[in-house]
Amino acid sequence: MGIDNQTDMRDNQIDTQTEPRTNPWAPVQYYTNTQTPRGVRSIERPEGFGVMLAQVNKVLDWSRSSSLWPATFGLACCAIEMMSASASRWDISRFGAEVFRASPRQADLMIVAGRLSVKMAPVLRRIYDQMPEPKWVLSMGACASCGGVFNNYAIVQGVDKVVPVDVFVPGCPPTPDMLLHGLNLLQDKIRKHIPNPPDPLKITGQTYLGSEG
Amino acid sequence: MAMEMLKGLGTTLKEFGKKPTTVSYPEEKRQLPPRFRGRHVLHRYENGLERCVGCFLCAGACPADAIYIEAEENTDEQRVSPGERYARVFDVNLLRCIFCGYCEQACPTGAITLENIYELASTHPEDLVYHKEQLLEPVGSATRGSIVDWTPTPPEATPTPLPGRQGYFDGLEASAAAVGQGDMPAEQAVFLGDDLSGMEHRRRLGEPEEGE
Amino acid sequence: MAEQEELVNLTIDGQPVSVPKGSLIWAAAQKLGIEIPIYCYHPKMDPLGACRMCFVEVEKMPKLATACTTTVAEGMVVSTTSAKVKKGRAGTLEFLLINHPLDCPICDKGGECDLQDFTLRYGPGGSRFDLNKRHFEKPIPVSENILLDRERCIACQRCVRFTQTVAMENGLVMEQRGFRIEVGVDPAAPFDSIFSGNVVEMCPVGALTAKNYRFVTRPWELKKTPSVCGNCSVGCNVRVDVRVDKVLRQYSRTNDAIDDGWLCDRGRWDLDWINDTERLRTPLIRRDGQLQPVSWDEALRFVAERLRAVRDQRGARAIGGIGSTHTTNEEAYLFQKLLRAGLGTNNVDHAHGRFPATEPGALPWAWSDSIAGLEQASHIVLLGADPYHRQPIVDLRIRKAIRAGARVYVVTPEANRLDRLVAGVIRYTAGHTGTLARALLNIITSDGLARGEQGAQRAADRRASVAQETPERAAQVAGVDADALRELAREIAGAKGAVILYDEAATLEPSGATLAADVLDLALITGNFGKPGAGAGPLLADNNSLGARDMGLLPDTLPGYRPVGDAAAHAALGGAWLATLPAEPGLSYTEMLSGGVKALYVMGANPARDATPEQLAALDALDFLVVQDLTLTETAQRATVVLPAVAYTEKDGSFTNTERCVQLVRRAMQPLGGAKADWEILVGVARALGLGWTYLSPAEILSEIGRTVPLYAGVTRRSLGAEGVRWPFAPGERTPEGRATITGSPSITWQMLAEGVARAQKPGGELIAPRGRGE
Repeated sequence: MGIDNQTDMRDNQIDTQTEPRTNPWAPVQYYTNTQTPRGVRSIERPEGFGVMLAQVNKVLDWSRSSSLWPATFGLACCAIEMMSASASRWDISRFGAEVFRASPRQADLMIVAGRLSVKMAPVLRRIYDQMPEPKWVLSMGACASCGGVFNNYAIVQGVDKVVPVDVFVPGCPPTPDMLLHGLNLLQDKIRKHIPNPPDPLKITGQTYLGSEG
Repeated sequence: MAMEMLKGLGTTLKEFGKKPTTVSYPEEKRQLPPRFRGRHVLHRYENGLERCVGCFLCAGACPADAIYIEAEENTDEQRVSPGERYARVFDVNLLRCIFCGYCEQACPTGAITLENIYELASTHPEDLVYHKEQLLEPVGSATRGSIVDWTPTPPEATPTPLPGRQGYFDGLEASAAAVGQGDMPAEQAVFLGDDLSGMEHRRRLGEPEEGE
Repeated sequence: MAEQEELVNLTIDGQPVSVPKGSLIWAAAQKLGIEIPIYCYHPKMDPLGACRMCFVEVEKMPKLATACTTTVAEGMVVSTTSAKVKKGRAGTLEFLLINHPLDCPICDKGGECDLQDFTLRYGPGGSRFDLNKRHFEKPIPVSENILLDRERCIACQRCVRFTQTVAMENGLVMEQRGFRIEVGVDPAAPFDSIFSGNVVEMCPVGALTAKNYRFVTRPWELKKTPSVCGNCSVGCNVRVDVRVDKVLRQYSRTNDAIDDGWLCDRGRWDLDWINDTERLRTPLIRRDGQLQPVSWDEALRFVAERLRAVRDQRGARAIGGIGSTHTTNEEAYLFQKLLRAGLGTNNVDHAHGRFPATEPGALPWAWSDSIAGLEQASHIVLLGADPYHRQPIVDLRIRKAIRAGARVYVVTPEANRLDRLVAGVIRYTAGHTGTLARALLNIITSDGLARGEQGAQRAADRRASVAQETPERAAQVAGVDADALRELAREIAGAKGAVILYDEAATLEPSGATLAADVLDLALITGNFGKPGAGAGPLLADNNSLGARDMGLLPDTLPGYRPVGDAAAHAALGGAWLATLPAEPGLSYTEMLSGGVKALYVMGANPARDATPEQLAALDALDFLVVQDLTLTETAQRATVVLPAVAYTEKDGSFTNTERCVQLVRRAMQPLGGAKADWEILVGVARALGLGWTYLSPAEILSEIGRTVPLYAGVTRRSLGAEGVRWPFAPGERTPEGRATITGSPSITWQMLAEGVARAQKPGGELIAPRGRGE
């Protein structure tokens, strides 16, 4: 289940463009947008586990989706909006996600709120690695999702270069509504048992970012 | 000790009867301010032509470099915008976008505005690059968007949006006329060949003559 | 030059300045760094005074004066910032903007428009004009490439003056008068000049726009890199304008020594081959008869393996390499180094086979003078050359020389665009350029027209060899007017300074085998050598035709034209390259293509395009063919391995132009994904062969060239500077930071040539004439 989800994604084909190409080594992508992270991933439903287990899975998925305990990863201004989402007006506890944990061992969801500097990247990765499976990542805001205005050498151009990101929430910063929408999207994804995206470091053959302590 | 406890309970009691402040988000949505800046929308004129003339000014103003445009020339057979030029490709990378609204400030024709569309999260980052087809308002609709709330009400009696007439250049409609000749009655095609005096031009345009 | 120019002292805005007598106030202000706005004036053209934008106030003058037409006077006091000037300029701008449409957002010039800029800086900020602006039908095409928007025109007449006085091609004229004045096309002379793009660049507003740049982008979206044009051998200095991943245009980057600030349409717009969507993006290896994509690692390993196998089985002489006249000097150098030091063969030649082979040590084929020197020439002779089509900016410089009074003789088989401007036109049957050159030599030697001691001696040496080549014989064979030839010979012999130029393609003709040496002798005997405005030389075809040969892409010479058998060169190069070099000359281009080798390494060349059926059969019979190129060319389709390379806009390097000027090429854009620069590929192959090359950048390779090639001694990336240096180099003064610099030579002197000739003489003492190729 969640634990071996990642292997399912290994042999995903790279999306080729639909229009026929006369030149077999023509560009896969004719037009590149400005630094868009074009991480290619397609998410499919894995094979079912049979009638009985399928029902158990559903219950498990429901309970997981309804008690997403976030690990705090407020890196910048987005964190203010994230805190706001847990306050009374938006009340993230309505979705069972109010328990922000300082320890990654007790968290299911990492909300990366803010720009990730290159120096911070190994830390982020380590926190992610320390979280127990199943785990999810929500990238909150422009900087976390693709670097935003900080298109420079110091900022990681999207945390999906470091950890597999399940949901991207645009905004600078996203309002609590936008964050909650992202959270709902994630819950929906968990309930549908859609596997996590492939681990970017495993795909590129890297095993660990930064030095082991 | 007991006093403090009662004092605390008193606060609870005081708030007890009040309605909760929580907005039950997915079911109930909060009232957004009129100038809320959410996703971009590209607008059309009444006649269905696009307001965007592909001038790249929004892309130039964008601090995050989130807008990518490729422009092309209108032909008589395929007319997309009123002027000579239109945007064949208009992509906004909403992940890069910081929703600052500079693009709508820069737009000379009021073609792009940020609207109160905010449910944008996606599991695929590439889906958050919105293309022109997704950004354009549907055919048949011709709204102005939040630009109406942003711009001050123009003074009365501005029959034509010519800068000279208006007394100031508002950066919005005056050049819309010059660029696209949009749906404004601004400048009719006045060719030099017809040898009319300036007064005659004005009479034809139904404008007040000087000295009246 | 010799006498000191008379200087005039004046004051502009309180700052004293001295400029040569006759200068304009505008130029004096320019010297001080004070901006005076101009529309109609252009530094390369005569003043007109039409736009009234350059108003300045001159003390004791009753009215405002135009800075572009007023010459400086001693003790003049000029103000460019007084209230009167400001009011005058604002008024001019208000007038200009009366009818100028406010369509800046869709105007191609918007962002680099003088009218926009000056309106912001000097404009009134508003208009009292509240009538409708005039409208015209727009845009109307004035030529195949250029569109005219008459609404935007401010009637500065730059374009018209350019076509009439600089390009001397007519085409554009001003029509009507007063407020109806507009630019129009001369009905008698279509606007089809190859220099037409310059009017788009110099138009201060968006009235003239290029069709293929129309609405493509905006100036602020462009990444602008100073570089050198790679479309012909002139090497004009350009600014490469790139948006994301496409080269959209090249703009002129003024270098008075080479392009004089102009650029031809080929250089400006002929860039589709760089943006070609069919360009290769991955290495290909032929498997089961099909070219199949593979990784770079695999491809490089495969190439090294197969080359090693061929060498082990059949010896190094079974391997050949055909280099390119388009790649940079660094790549040409690495290519021959790979073949000579890495694989141990001298079978290296360059693509064309169109060039005469050079003689070791001699410098007979290089243009002994410079492009700028043409202006000082009293006579220019074009032998079988058509610079208008092949080296357009040289043609423009010849036109400038014509305006300065030069007598130009066009000696070509076919009609030339210069015909109507020149002093004399001589026609002959195609293929006999060499016959004509020898006939001219015959006239000069037999009529005793030699000048100077060296000339007389040279004439005596040559008299016997051209005794049979009388003008009458030329008239018979080549259908040329013998009297016209006699007159031309006398003109050359009596010239204050004559430049004789021939097209390198003429050396390919059956009669052209000795053309290069003959023309050189013609200049030497008539004393037209070794001074600015006199000389002889070829007009080459490709951007690095000369550099490829300088770098030793020749079977019989090492880099710097040292013979392959030269022991000293062997010792020096072998030491630097850590290899033993083969001593016997290798196979030439044609010999390699006619079955002389079993494995062929082709870099940036396309021999199959012009090959004969036998040569094609020989290409197909090769054991192994590697091709490095941008697209799947005819040769690449026959290849065993194809390695995708990049264009000159995507890599650093240097080119050597037809007048020996070595200039820097800078990377203007990201290389196409999957493709690599030729030098990177060569380094990759060398490493796969176990050669241990460690070059990290072209700058490193150029420094090595500076150390190992005497002709390029002292060259580094820094020493070339922004405008290039002409070889032969000499050590220059050190920069204030202590860096070594080099200085170039504008013209090759007799001394340099004599040294070269001495080295070229073989034991018999006879100067060997260059041998024709491809015969």
